Amino acid sequence: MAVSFALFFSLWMGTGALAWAYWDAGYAPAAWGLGGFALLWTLGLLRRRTWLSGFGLVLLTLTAVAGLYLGLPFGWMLAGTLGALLAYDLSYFSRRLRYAAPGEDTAFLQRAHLMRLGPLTLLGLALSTLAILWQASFSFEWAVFSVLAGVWGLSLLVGWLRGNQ
Amino acid sequence: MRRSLVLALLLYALVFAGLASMNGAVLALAVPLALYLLSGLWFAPQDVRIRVERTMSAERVTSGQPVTVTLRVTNAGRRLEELMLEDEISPALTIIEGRARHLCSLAAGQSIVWTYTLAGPRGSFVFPGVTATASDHLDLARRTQYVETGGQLFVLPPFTRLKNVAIRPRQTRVYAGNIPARIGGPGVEFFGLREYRPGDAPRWINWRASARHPRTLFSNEFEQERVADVGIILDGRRRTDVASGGHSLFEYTVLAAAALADAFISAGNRVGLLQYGRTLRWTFPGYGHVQRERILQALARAEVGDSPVFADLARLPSQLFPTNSQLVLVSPLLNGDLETLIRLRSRGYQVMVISPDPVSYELRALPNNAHTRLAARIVRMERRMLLLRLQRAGVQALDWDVSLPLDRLVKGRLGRPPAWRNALGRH
Repeated sequence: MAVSFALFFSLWMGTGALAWAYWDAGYAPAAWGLGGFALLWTLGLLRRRTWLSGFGLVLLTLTAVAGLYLGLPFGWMLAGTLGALLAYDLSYFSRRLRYAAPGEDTAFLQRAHLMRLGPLTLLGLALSTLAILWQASFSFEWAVFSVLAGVWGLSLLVGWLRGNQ
Repeated sequence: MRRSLVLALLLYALVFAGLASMNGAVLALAVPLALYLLSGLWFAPQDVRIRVERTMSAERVTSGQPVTVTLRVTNAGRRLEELMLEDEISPALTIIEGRARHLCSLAAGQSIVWTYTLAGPRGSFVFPGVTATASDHLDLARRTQYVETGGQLFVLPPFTRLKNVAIRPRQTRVYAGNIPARIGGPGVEFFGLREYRPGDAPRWINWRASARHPRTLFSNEFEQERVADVGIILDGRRRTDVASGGHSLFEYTVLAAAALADAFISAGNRVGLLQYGRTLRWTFPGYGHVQRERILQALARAEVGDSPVFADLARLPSQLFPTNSQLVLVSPLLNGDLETLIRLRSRGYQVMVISPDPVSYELRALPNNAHTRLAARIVRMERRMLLLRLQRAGVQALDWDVSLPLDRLVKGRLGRPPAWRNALGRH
């Protein structure tokens, strides 16, 4: 029950934040589109179409990136991305939870999951806010170095994760 | 696509977009995603070491009967935050209570017991093992272990017991049984007369015959009853099978074979089973409960199949069966089978055919119109001709309408008359 509430709350919070930012900036069709997608996503989850969450995460993140390029406030965009990430995570968790046997302590699993997710969200929120407050200036050499380091680091990360699976 | 891969690609896209456009806000947007993925790295399970013990409420049931599977899972390694267990079961089996998948969290040394109930159609089902997938709470990094558990379930055909199936092979074995052996000796049925021998019981003396020959006494001789060799041939050729409404006539063929095998073994006979279809599967002849179990397990595994080699009965390996023994073919029959059966008969085998009627079986699923009725009439005539020819050749052929119970047919056509009827001389 707590997971379902958190799932739909984060879904509507994420899309709501993005829709509000777009609406406020005068992009009403985009706001309506986001509202419609949130409805579709909710219905999809109620009909156990979990794959919609992956699609939703990508779509909302790209919408947030587009919003940043359009000059929309960072706070709303971050809230949108975080909401999508939480909804994505919780939808897969509730699907896994369906396989718990009737006698299994599902409350423990839910509590453990939310205890892991809560601090991560707060930490993400804090670090993102710090990052945006510390606006470092990018030189061309610094940008090239960061790209190469980013590619190398992320390749390692992906390789490790895929190897684990 | 894997969840971690989706997230990693998205993270890549954000970092590249941020770096390419030198937009710090886009890079900052990637921070929660990076943290989320890093937590997967941090809390990833190191190894999965679990033990699984399987117990089943029964290893041998009839179709539709529920079986409870209990799995005891013990964590012999470190704590597993989330463990998804999946028991590998045949898709033919239906779970009627519980699930074959189970999600749990296991501390080091902790055990859980997980139970589910299933039922299935006739068959032999193997339970090879359990797939255990351990992951962190966010399910980003996984480790999988396959644990072999073993276990087998035989779902046997739900046959009805047949009593006193009368057969009369030319040759019997040496042990006492209940099949007339065509040899005089101790028994029940009158066989003939012979001269009195010292030791004969006075009640065996035939006083009428002895009265005609004043100087000689005659004793009644009875027919010995012994056990016999019975070879059951199960026809599994796809050409003979009829499937309608999700059911197959072959199931009735198997049912009849099981009932007959049970009846012959119960009477003390030595029974073997040959499955003739895609391949030849031979269950070596034997006696008793063990042999009954062997045959029932073979019948649980029986299936229809095609083979160009065994398309007709001509390749039936009669050398597997002892000479002059009793053969029982359970088959819906094809017109081309006549010659083979006559050949078997001519070699001295006593041949009986139990034939589930494919015409009436198929007719139930067809619309009742003039064309169907005409077609059914023609096919029935052909079948009647085939059965008549078989009977003329000395093959005992029984046409079984599968809507009626087999025991009724067998009782009427193959049952032994009760002793009081024999005593009254009414055959």
